[in-house]
Amino acid sequence: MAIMKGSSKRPAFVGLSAGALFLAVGPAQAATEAYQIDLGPTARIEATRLATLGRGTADVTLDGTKLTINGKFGGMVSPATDAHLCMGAGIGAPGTCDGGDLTVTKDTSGIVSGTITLNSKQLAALPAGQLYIQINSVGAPAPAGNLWGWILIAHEIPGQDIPQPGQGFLPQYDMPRSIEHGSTHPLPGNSNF
Amino acid sequence: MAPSLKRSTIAVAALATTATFALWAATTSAQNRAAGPFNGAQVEAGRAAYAGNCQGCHTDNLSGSGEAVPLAGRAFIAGFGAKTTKELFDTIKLKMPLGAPGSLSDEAYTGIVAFLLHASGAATGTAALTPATAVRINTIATGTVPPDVANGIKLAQAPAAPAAAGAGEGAPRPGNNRRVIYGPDGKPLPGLLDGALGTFRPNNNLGVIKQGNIKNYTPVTDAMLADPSPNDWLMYRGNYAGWSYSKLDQINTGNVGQLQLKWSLAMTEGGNNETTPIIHDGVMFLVSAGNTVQAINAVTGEVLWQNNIGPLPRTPDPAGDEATRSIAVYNDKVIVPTMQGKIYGLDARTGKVVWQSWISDPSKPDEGQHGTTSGVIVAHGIAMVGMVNCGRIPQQNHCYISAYDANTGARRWKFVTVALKDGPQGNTWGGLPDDQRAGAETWVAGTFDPELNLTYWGTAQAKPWRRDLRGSGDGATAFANSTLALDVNTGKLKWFFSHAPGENFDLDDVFERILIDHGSQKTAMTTGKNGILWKLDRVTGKYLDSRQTVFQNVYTKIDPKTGAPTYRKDILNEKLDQYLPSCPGPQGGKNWHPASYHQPDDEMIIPLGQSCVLMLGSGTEKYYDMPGADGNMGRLAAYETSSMKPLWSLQQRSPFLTGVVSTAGNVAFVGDFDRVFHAFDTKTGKQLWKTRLGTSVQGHIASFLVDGKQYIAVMTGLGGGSPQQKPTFMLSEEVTRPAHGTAIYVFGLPDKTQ
Repeated sequence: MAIMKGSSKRPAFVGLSAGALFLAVGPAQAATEAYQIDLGPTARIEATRLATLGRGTADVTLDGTKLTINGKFGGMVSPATDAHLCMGAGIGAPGTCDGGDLTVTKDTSGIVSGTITLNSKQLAALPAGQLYIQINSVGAPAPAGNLWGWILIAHEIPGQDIPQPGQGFLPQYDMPRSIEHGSTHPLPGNSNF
Repeated sequence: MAPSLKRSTIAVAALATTATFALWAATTSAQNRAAGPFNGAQVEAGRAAYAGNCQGCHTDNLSGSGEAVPLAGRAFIAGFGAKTTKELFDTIKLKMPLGAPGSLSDEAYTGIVAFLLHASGAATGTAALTPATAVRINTIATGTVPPDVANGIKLAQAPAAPAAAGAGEGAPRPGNNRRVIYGPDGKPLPGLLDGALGTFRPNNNLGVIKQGNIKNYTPVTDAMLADPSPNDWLMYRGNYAGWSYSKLDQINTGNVGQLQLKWSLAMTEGGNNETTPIIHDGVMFLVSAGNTVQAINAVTGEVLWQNNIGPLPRTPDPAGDEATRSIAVYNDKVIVPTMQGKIYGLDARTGKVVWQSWISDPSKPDEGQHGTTSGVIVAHGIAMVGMVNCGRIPQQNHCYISAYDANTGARRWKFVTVALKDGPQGNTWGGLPDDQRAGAETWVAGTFDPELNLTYWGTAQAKPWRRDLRGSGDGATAFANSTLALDVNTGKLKWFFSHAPGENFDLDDVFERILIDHGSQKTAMTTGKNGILWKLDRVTGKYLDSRQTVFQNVYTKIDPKTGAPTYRKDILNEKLDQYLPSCPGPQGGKNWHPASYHQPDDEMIIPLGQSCVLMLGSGTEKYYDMPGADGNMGRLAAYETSSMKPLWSLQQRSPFLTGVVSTAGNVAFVGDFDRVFHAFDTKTGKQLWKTRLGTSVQGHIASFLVDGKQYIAVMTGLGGGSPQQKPTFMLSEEVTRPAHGTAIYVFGLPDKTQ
């Protein structure tokens, strides 16, 4: 597979500075905030399993209302056809893919990118973990698609079998505000998690 | 669908257990539909093929059980109604029978499709269904289950086979655990796999096939069990508190890299291998498929005696017969619970059967034909076991935990784990009649606090999984998915705590309860499939704390005072025909592989799983990676139990399939799906050693010492539910495992280092 495992260090300082600023000025006026996407196969059954192979990653920044996505993917078994910004009920909960179109290489590997101006609903959905992107392909077209990945706060990907202090990255709905979940923001006062 | 017909279908489904009404409904509903593209001969052929190949998992009334989805009624329509008969044929042929997909003839598959259509109210026609016939199912099937299916398909039972000398069970029990089903002529039904016909005979005989007499055997006393010698591994998870911790420190962080294989022994193939080696005074007692029980010299690997209790495994298929997760030793007995619903007391010196009792007596209407996989714990001479396969609807005989005199086998008590309508907590099932209350199995044996004289068990979720299909509304479905504290002498419920009231996604909270004292506070800690680590006061059952150990999206919060979870809104408003996401999925954020409590550092090391599911109301599933896990299905994480503070974690592509055992040498041992047996530093999570074994490393690990030398025993094996099936599906392109290789391996240090 062309793009797969291995250590990947994301710029934690971006999250730190962005997080501090986020707290200082509030979400409506936040400066650049760093997120990332880990692309993996969409939900599969036996009949579609082999059509949905592939992986990828993307760096994501939010500057005001502009969401910029720069990513790459590979290992697909049929060429990509289109890619979109999608919104569901939360992290890992898929929904609909009408949030904006992305540019994608029409091949089994390549790049996925684009800048989308988020509306107020999408802006609110981003920190709630409700936004994700989906790449469709010839062999795995919409609506099920081929690859998807949720937009999560920037975090370190340590690689396999490399222990991390604490519990490592662990996303949650309130993930941009939770230091426990890999972000650099404080934990909500009454959270159990 | 016309509105009036839709209402009729829903109403019918609610009363589907009333045969008269179902008959009426089947007739009236069928009148509104065109005749199905199948004939009566195909229905009957399909009924027989279903009985032989499908019934063991999907049950005799097609209501499904566990991983086996319902194949009749509104759940079937929800899952398959929008598909065509051709798609159904193709799906069944592609995936079934389990372990041997595509192995039946096209005639058998078309017959099964015809029978399934009949079972969901389609009217029998005159045309012959073919593999190419493509008729949309919801245009011919109403979802109404006819009485000949709703009441259980009726076929002649297997003739009783003579019991072999010394054997407890010579013949399979028809209808239980996918036994051979015989037709009216006394012959096995057509379409059966070779294995199901019993031609797979890894052991030629039943009974004590290896004679032996362990003359220097020392009886195991209550005192020994209460404070086990570190040289022994006397029970399932090492001690009554379920710590899975060894006080031995000869193998430590400094020398674990020198571990070498001392001996290995192939175990009986043909079933799940999730068991535990029990070691006492240098003798290992081991159970494997076919209820094969062995006493083995723990240093040399020599078999001292062997009793093939039986029945023999039907098939080499690793997804075949289920087996117990542990046996026990007490006094001079080896206690062996079986999936066939019996419990045995063997003479520990010779292996001969001393007593046997029914756990689930088929002659008693309130007991039926259930089995047990939980393993067994013995406290004060009372052997306690759980029960499985209680998911059938209607459920006439509910699951229970039961207890037996370890010396005689006499039943001492039983506790039914489903709250019945007129009993305590009976109002927590949305008014469902008793026969619609299913599940709450106990498939992992409990722990025991000798001071409080309480035993702590977890229960599985209510059945069916999805609450919309179950019909229990927002009821908590006691005592499902709860921690139960029972008095060991009487079986009476001291308290219970519901971890997942009204659970919805096959997310069991059934696993080990680990007993840890924090100063004067006595706690019970457990992690369920939802990946939440719970801490309860084990005296009162009061909620103390919780911690998310993997990503989850089922709950939006947990009440910090009561521990009550709040479900995601779309779960509360779910519809049968709607796929709903669940992270974790049925693989479980945690599953049956127990955590270790590394007592010196107040540290719990938990083997965790990471994958998600989209689940339809019928139980049909689609799997995907867990967000944030970077494609890693395995996670190992350590927590300080007093503070619940996370200490370290690591991830890997393959999930872990053994429990964790930590030792005073600060080493944590654990095995995985991809055949790797690991040793990690308990303080940092750093990998210290690993080796590759024959197939998936699965089961429970034991640490013991004989003649001054410490050993680590671990098993390889296949079979099992979601923890094996989900990674098998998701990792099949990159992980290659033989479909056999069940064995035990014993490791030690080189002689010169000891």
